[in-house]
Amino acid sequence: MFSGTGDCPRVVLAPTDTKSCYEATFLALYFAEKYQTLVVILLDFFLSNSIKNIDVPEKPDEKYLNANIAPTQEELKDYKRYKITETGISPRTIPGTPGGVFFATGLEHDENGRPNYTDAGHLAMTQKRFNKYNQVLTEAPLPEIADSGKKEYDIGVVSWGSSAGAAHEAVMTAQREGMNAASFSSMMLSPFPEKALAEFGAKCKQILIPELNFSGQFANFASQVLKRPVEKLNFISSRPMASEDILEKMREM
Amino acid sequence: MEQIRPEYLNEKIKTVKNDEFLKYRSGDLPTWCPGCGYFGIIDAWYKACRELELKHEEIVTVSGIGCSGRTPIFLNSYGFHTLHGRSIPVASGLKLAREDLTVFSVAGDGDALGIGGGHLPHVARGYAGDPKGLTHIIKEGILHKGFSFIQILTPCVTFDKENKTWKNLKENVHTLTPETHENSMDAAMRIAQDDPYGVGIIFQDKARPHYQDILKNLNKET
Repeated sequence: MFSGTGDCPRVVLAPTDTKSCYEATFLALYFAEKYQTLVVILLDFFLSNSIKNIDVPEKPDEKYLNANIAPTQEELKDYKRYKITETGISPRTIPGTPGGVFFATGLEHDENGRPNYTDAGHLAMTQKRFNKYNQVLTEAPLPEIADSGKKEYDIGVVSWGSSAGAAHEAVMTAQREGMNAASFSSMMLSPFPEKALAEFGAKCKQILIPELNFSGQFANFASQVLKRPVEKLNFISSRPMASEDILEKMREM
Repeated sequence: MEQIRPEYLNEKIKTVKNDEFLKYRSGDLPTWCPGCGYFGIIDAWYKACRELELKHEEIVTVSGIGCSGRTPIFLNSYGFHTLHGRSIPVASGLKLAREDLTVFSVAGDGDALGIGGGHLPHVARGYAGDPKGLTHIIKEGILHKGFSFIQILTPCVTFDKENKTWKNLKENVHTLTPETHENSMDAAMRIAQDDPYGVGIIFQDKARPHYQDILKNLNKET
């Protein structure tokens, strides 16, 4: 999410189970093609090696499979490959299209794709990239929230990736045990549905973030969004997170 | 200072226009040093494309990093400025997906030779100071079915004042006789190694099925 050079926003999807791996894959292709940007599917060893029987997923809608935004005939008359548009997405030609010849480079460029390092040019292109990056959220999968419809909770468990299933189960068990708890997980990590998390967080007295790393990478990010400290549960014990582990921590809280 | 006669300029502009050079050339001025061999190379590239009547929108030039990496900026073709040393994988992927396009991968010594060339079924060597011979080689390379590798000898006028200079290249570069060594891998290897200044088509295997054909057959069988 953060590593890389300069201000280069990228889309990050972290599937939570076998079925969402499938969903993340076609979404990643869709985002990469439509938004012309880098997309990362974040898996861990446990998820990539787990075997599960699932129903054959439905074939994604046609709109996901052919997402390139091509220029109109009118636009091709004076074609600018990296045109600054309202959405930040510049219509893209496919090689072989007459009038659509362009040069693609990793160097900072102007609307015609020519190297351009001027301060105004760099600012305009960076704004354009962040503009389209933020647009991704408008059609991103929504966070999965499991609560009991109450106004306030004692513990809110926020999870991501392969520990999301265990976190959800832990919350369900806790509710049966009489604890007042709710669960929040998001496959979309970047751009992140910050508003949804802030709303969820406002209802919870305490927030617990279980995850499979030492430093609490997601917890650190989430506490910035929530603007308050969170309770961490970190595992680097070379085994996946189990719902009992989370439940144990919840009882202690 | 001697004044340039306007008639002379007009005449020159007319010739250039008639040559249809501008069709393959972008409006950008090359960033290369004065006297660089790359000017000769793109000149031969323009000529080869024009003589084969290629449509400029059906050409893709893929490059890596460096002086050679800048090449696609100055060509009016679809261009892709990729990572350092990674122009060949991008170009081969492109060609696999779109057989109808003419795909060039441009790379300098560090960019391509630094990571090795792999198996090269059609090898030729040209010289930037011999535009006519180089045009011929590029044309043959385009017409060859499959992957063609063209090594072009060109001086770096800024960083090499001693070894491969225009003067030394001019003295040493010679056309190979016979020009083509079809199907004789042994002879071709000997020339490539022992005669570093011999230019021409060193090896061409016309009988070998190219990768796309093999792939098509594979797809048929499965």
